Amino acid sequence: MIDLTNRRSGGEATSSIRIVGVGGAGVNLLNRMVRDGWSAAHLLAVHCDAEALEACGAGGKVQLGPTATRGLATGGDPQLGAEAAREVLSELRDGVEGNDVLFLLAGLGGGTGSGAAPVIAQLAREAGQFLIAVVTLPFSFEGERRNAQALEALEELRRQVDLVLCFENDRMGEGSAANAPVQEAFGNADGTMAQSVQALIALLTQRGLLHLGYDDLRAALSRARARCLFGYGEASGPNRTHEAVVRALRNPLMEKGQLLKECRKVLVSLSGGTDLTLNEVQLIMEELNRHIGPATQLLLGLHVDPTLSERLVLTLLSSLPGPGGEEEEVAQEAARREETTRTPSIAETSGLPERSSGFLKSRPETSSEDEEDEELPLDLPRATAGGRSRKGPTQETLQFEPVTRGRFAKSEPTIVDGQDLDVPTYLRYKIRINA
Amino acid sequence: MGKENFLVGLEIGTSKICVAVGEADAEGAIRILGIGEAPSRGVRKGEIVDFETAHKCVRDALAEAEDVSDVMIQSVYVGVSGGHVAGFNSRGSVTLPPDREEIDATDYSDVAISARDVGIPASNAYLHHILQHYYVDGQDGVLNPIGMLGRKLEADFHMIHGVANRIKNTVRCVTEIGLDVDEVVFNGLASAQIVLSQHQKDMGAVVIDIGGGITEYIVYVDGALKQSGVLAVGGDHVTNDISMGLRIPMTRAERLKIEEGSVDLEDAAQREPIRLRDEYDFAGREIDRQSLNLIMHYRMRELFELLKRSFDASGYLGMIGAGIYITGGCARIRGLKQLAEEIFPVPVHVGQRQPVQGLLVGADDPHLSTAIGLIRYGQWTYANRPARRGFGNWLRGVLGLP
Repeated sequence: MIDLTNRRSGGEATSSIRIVGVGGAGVNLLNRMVRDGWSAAHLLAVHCDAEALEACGAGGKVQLGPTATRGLATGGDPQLGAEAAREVLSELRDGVEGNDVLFLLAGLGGGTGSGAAPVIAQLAREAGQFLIAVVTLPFSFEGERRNAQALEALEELRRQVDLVLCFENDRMGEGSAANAPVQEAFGNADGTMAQSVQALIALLTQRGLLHLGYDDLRAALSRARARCLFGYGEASGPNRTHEAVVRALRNPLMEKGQLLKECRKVLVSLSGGTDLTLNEVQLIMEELNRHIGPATQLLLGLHVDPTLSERLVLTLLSSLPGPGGEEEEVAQEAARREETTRTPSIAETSGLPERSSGFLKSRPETSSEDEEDEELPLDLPRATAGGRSRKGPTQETLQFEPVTRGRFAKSEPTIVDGQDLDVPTYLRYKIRINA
Repeated sequence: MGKENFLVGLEIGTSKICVAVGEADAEGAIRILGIGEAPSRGVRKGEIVDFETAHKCVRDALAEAEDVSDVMIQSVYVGVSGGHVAGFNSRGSVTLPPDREEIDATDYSDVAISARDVGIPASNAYLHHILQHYYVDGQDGVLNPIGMLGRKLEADFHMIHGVANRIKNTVRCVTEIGLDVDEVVFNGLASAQIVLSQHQKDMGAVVIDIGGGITEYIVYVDGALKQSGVLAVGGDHVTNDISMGLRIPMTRAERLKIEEGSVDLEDAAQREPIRLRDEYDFAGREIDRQSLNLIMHYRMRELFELLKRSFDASGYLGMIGAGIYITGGCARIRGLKQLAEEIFPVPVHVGQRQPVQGLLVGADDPHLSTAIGLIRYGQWTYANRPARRGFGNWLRGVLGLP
């Protein structure tokens, strides 16, 4: 089981996970993970360059192409990379087999990453594993050829793996200041990728109150020629809901949440300590609702982790369709929808905007447990989760506008015990007013 | 004595800016010479959000105060507030060097420095450290440790701190006009000085100052300041709620709150609806009195509930003998006393204040508490340190305040 004890997730993982770093970029990322305190036993480094491989702290190592490259790198030739990988097929197979989930980390565009990664993906697929590729596309200044190689490899990978998380190097730089040292900028990029892997692991392994499964992940992320959006925010203190959202949106791949508007599905994973209240979940979802477009659906995963104590961890994952990817995506989704026999959510049957459905669905599971713990500040009927989210047939008596702060819309929110005090009290307590 | 005779309190509030000019006589009584008021703009929840506009409003209020009092204002005591201000208790401790056993003035200041040595955020600065009790070698009830023999001097303080830059914004608003700042004082602390007598502080009392955008509270037990804090909810929130609930503009909601509003739910049921009049005095739509009162009732009830929770958490409510004193502009809301008494298990007094001389007609309003309290505060600190000090070391002088 992956040891994440000094990571944030802390929960017992129930499935085995292996993280394979392929090529220079992949090995670098593994090194970063080792430095961050990930358990080396689950990391497998695969590289042609014997020297780089030697220096890597991963638990397992496979040297590619003992005869094809003789311990040197491929010189940016994917064919040589693929050839090198085929030389050691049996070793690779041993390395990737026997796990539930396999992460494949690679920088596409070079020889080893673009050439060997698809070969390894194919092996893993044959072994019947759930395969997630976390890859980077080269900087545009690296030249047309490298870009073409990268895209080709990406297409290849997409055919083999279950899920591709694709980060563009060009965009990763946006998270760093223009005058940041290049080492720091690269470090930040690696950090973002490591966080995304960690978040995915947490999503897949932790049994939450509201569980997000592989299918949700796939719905949010697998888009043709997609651009990946990833946001991670951690906060504590009295204003933690607001801060977690702000921090998550501040991530380099988010563009302050502007891009969320264009997403069709956004995966929201929220973990908190035992003091996480339903109200806080509600606040976060409401705040996110302000950043998404009318057609966006939020898929909520909720997880209580006692080790987090007062902290709140919010992860956002989504993907944007790349050029020409949209139609394909729509078609795929339509096909998937027909296949699945899931019952329509409340939102769909009642004609509500679809995005609130994730939240409405969440109520029965969380409310019983969370509301008991909460002290009611007043002897008043409590605003229920569904009541505030959208105007619609679920509320017959009260016609609420979407959460309104009126005069205070632009000022710093006053949040006490997870309640936004700027929102009129009578709205929060569902007092009926004859206006 | 010149200008030293006059004490000026300036409160930059959310709904109005108040300047009080006063004079302290030899017996310690203060006499108000004039009040200047200007509607405030560019202030939200007790903090300046539009510097230029707020700056202009402050000038207007100061000009009026100078006009009325016939005093040239040269320096002011400035009140600050905001959701960032918080208070906590801290104990400082110093051990005397082995070759000395008499406690002297350096220990006296060292113990305050030691009490400040607790982690507040780096961006924050202390506004006040107010002495609660001394202990010499663990012995309680020492009033003045200087000259006593002992090995160890300890002291409990109540510390009030806030975000330094936000406090500086308020100070700059004054210094840019060309005035000196005598001292920066937490609004709640200032109000408490004029609302409570020494006797009430000794018995145990709470002051809740509900202003336009923010509510400050101060708890005194056994004559010592024990708890202070801020809740960024005030009269603006009531107006905003009314505006949204009844779907009327903010200005009309504000008028409705002042002219007709109450937090009393029983009274409203029996009375006829309110008819809104438009600017030509034609009768407009009707407003259900019950709805108006409901909106106000729940806002104020929630505010009191939240305050009660923080008092309950500290456990001081059981030691309150004199009761709760509600002041600030919102103290004028009808029915507030009954509502507060429903929630707090102690006597509630609304709008009361210590007598001050020379108040002009209409100046007896609770919303002036902070501005006048600043004068009282100034008088206290002035009396306790004969040498006039600059703004630079204003932090030090607060020690003697009860």
